[in-house]
Amino acid sequence: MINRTISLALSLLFSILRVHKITNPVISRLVRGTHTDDILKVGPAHKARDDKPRMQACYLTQLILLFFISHTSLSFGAGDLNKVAEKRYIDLTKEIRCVVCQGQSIADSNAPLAKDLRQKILEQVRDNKTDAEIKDYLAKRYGEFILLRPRLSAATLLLWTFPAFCLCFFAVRFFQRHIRP
Amino acid sequence: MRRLILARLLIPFLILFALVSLFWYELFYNKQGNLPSPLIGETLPRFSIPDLFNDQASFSSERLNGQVTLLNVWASWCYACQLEEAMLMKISDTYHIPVYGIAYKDTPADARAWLAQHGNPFTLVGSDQTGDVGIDLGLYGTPETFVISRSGKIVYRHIGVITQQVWDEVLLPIVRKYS
Repeated sequence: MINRTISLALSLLFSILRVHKITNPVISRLVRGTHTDDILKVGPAHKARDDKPRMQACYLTQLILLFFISHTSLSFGAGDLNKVAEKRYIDLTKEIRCVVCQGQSIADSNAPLAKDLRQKILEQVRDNKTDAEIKDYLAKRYGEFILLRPRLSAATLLLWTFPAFCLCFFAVRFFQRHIRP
Repeated sequence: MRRLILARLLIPFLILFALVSLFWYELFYNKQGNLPSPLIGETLPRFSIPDLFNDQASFSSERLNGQVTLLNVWASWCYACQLEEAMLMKISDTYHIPVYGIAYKDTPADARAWLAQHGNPFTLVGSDQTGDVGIDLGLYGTPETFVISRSGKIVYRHIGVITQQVWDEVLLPIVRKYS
């Protein structure tokens, strides 16, 4: 519920800023491609200099708000969940690969299959299935490939332990070379 | 001693060479379309969906037991499915391999109209309007075709259109091997 309120407030603020951008004569002229010097010469444009920091702040805010959009859109459709379950649902969708658009997670994708899989995950979160059970369910159908973060298994043992192994190896060598003598 | 130093100098280059060859292989020779399915060798997931032509009857996974069959997942909204329709007709008419169909996320009326227009190669067609069977099959998209063995196990999955070449070189040998 809180998530939904925040996302609504953010999108409202965002649209106000967009309206502001269109109504602000200086910016709209810039958008239409008029040269900045022309604007600075004529009457109301003298204000443009004072407006500049505010404009920049406005753009910066918009840019920051852009980052929230993909996340807020996801929280819709899960409104009846409690906060913990909703977070679990969102975190899970970020860890599942969208198989038809392979670089993305299903949280970021609007492909029909990604929507269906989100729905399946939502249903299972509602049924209080554990994360492991939900991942099993998906991996059984689509393979380990669908999990963006590989699980620890015989095949991925090297992958998971290699960084730690390297760290130990070089730590020992460093110790031998520089500290012991 | 000098030889040892030379060997040690070579090590970074050897590692680099190994990495470059690995990336080269992955980039140019790794088949993107070859998506692994964990369902190969497994029993076909159980399903029971309405028969497209008879709401009262159902199409269940048990129907596929007893002989080698093809299970084709298609939709009337899928352009590529039109391209393999003639081939599916040929498979069921000329090669006498039963082809079963699943209309994936399709309204029954649209699916029926499509079959009336393009011809119906299917022994039986089920209607999977929600796409649940699709998810149980680990479906990526339409068309997708599964080769089902006599004992009801999935032995192969083909993603995409079945052309004469795919049939001759890939699917037919598999069907022969299991029948």
